[in-house]
Amino acid sequence: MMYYKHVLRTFGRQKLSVALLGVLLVISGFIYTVMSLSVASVQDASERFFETSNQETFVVHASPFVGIEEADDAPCAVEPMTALSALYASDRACFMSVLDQRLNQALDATEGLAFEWRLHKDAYIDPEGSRHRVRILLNNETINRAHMEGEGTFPDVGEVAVSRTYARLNGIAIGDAIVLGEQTYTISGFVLFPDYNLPIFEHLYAFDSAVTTPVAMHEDDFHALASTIGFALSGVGTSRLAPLEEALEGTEFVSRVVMTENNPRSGAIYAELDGSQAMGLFLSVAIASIGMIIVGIMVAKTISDDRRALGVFKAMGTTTTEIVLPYVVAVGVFAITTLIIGAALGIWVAPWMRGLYLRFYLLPEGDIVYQARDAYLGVVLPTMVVLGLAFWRLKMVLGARPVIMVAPVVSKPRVVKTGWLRRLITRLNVLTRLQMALLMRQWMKVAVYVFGVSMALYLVFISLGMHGIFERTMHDYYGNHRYESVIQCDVAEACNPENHERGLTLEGNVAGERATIIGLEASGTLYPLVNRQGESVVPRLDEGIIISRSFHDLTRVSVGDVLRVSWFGGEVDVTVVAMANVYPGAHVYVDRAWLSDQVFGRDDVYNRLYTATEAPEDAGPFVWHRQTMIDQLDELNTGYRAMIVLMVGASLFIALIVVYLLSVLTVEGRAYEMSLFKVLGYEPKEISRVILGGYTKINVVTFALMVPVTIVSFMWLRRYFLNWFGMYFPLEVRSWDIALAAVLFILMSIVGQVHAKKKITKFSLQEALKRYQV
Amino acid sequence: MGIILKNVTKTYGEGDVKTTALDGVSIEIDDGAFVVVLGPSGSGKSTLLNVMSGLDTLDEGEITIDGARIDTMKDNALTAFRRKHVGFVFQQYNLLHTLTAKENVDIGGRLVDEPHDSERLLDDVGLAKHKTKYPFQLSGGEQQRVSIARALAKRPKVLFCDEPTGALDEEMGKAVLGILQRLNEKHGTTVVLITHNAAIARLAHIIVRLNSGKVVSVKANRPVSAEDISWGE
Repeated sequence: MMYYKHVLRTFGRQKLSVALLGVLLVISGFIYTVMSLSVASVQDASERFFETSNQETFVVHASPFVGIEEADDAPCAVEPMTALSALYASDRACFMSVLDQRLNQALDATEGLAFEWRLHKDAYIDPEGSRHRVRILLNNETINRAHMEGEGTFPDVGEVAVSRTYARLNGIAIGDAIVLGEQTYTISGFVLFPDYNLPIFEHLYAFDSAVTTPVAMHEDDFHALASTIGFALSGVGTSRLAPLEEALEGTEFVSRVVMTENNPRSGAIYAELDGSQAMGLFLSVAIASIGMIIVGIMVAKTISDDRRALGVFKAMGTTTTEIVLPYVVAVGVFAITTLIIGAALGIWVAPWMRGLYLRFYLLPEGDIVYQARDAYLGVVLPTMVVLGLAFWRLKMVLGARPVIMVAPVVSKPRVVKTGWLRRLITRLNVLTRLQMALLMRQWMKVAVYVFGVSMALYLVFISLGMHGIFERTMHDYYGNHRYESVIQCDVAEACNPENHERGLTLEGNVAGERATIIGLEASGTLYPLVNRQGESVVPRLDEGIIISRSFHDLTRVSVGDVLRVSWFGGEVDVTVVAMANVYPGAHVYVDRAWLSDQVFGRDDVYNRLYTATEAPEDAGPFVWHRQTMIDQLDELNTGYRAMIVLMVGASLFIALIVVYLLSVLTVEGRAYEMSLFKVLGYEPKEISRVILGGYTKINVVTFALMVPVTIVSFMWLRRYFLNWFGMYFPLEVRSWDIALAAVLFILMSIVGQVHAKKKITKFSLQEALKRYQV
Repeated sequence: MGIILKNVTKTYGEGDVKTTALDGVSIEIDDGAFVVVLGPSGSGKSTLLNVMSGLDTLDEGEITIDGARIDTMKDNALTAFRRKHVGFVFQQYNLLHTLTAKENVDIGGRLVDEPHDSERLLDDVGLAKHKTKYPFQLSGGEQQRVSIARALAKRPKVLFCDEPTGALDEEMGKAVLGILQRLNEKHGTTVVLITHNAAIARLAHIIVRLNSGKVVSVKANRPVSAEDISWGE
């Protein structure tokens, strides 16, 4: 019992540090558990969903117009460049025969692959007076079959099914009546589709399951619904893009091929879920590793400080087990308790986190199950690591003879043998030489310090970089536009362009990357594009192509470069004349009339109308309002902001704890030197300069290095997300982030140093020399 | 540099466990004297050295060094005083293990405008060839000689030595004492040395005996050479 008391009092002397370490472990356990459980609950159910629905592995996007050769070969009479949506409305049989013709072409061009058209229509749904735009999908027979969740049945005539998340968020139950388009339907159940082809809008950021949903309905109702038809060719049988693109190269109707594995906003986000889990695990493992290092250093230091007492115990004949056991029990109980608290908090918060995922992903909801693996990775393994470090240090200390243990330790510094380095050092003034000597000859301690500080600074930068990220990506994008509504028009249909600005948006390939080509009026004002200097660049559309900053991040092309722009049936080289300071993804901007001329051979084609005032709903086939989009984003952001705040807060807190503890450890580690210098007659300022001045320089250098390192890593992360998930996260290091990080860093370093110095001055100089001698 | 202690009292602890380490100690030490404070363990030797050198505070009494009352000085003033006038030699050497022998001496020298040349000092203590070695590469006696060179680098007027030979064998101990004696004679540096080894007292001009925190005797002595003493005396 006596030994246990001794251990408790030994750790009790460092209450604040121990408390902070406890917080570190709680956060570590919490982050791991909440990320792991929430993702796993969705992931496990999703795997079953994808399998039973026979999820597509790729999608072939097809031209919305009948091609010249296609028109010649069609079994029905159809003019070239006829919009297929118009053909569907006027002659569905002919429309279907064109699609069949295309499907056969795809089958002929490939080998061993299966294809099936996915047809969809968009319409409005009005739950309790709200106006939500939804996508109705015609169920397939082989690929991307509908998946019914929970109770309920697939809709019969007069019925529809919506997603469970949408139903829950809008208070809709099975048996309720809803108005969709101009008809009233009964809710028959809850449905999910695993398609990539589910985006409700063509705009990337409309994904709030509270205001939109995939809808299933009976085939008869689907065709009877007055709405424009949309289509895409789903396929299975390969996951390799290049050979598939090569095989389909000569097929006239193909505008682009997309592998669905890494695309968000659909059921096909399995890899992204993996990515989320990996990122969550990486983050929690990174945080836990930093925690382990700090905990390990603290435990090792405490044990080292206690070396003389241990030497006395050993000299008295106490067995190694009697000495080690209390430490192992104390450290083990501490680690397990704090990690369990973290895990419990994680279990509590996991359903909320799952809800956030499901609001974004159209995936089934699985149960939150805490498994043995979670306990092992979240609690047992970290505990073993901490215990291992403590045990290793104890073995090191107890390996010495008692007489050595009770005597002061003489450390053996690294001898500098390099001639030029020695000559360089001897030319420096004494204080700088001393600073360097203290650092260089104890490089392991310095390395641990630099590593810890770098990690902490990176966490600080990530935290600050993530702050406001959704506002920057979505809200600002739409917030800066000046149109009130967008009327989406099929080129073949009549939309009155009077008093509106025309636009022409196409999917194509720019500089080797798939991109959205947006044609705008060079004289327009409703779709402003400004460069970093805040100057409008829209008038320059006359001169060439304007790229978004996110496209620049993706491709590294810049102003002055000549890009190859290609689309269905043509290509042209254009010079980049400006870069717009917007982050919508792979977007480029060109003059609408020029694009129309290049693609259609005439300059008056458009498929968007931007209106200065709110357009009525009957102004065109589809009308959506900018304010509706902003409101939806605001609603969605509320949840994500909470998640970001949680992550930012946890990261920042951990980073500051690490900086604080490292500062305390650094100063306390130099207590012997500080006391000795004071005895010799050095003034406090001189002591700080000699002992801590070196660390100040290290802090400055580390900080200065971490800024470019972080900038480069953020650049890489932005490209990674854009390349793999098609999402642009404008993680960036802004000047005020650097300033704020510097202030936080300096503040915590000073607080840590002052705290440690205060502790040291409690002892008389002689006592300090004896107590801290290393 | 003359040192005057008047009725110096120092106690540790509180209440029933209060221990009087120094009990009304009064001593006068002349400028340039070699003083040995002798006494058994617990007699208050180390406490006397600590308060005399300004490393520790006292409860009662006065300490005057070269006309200045150090017992009333604030921490900053005490630091300045030690910087200007006082050198220390410790039983455990207290060298910085990350610095070479010469660099250890340099940190003592840079406290004053005109320090002794560190290489010359190392030569004086017989370590010219070891100046680039680290403490762990030196023997105990050699480390103590580095410690003495460091203390002397700033030309102190008084040198406080806390059991400087306590961790050394006789041969090395006598070599260290010989250096202290020669420096006292050559530079007129006042040396206050505490020890429990009675043989060392024969080097002193003045021998102060302490017991239970009180001065038992203060005697003048005709010093002998360090080479002539024996640990067994």
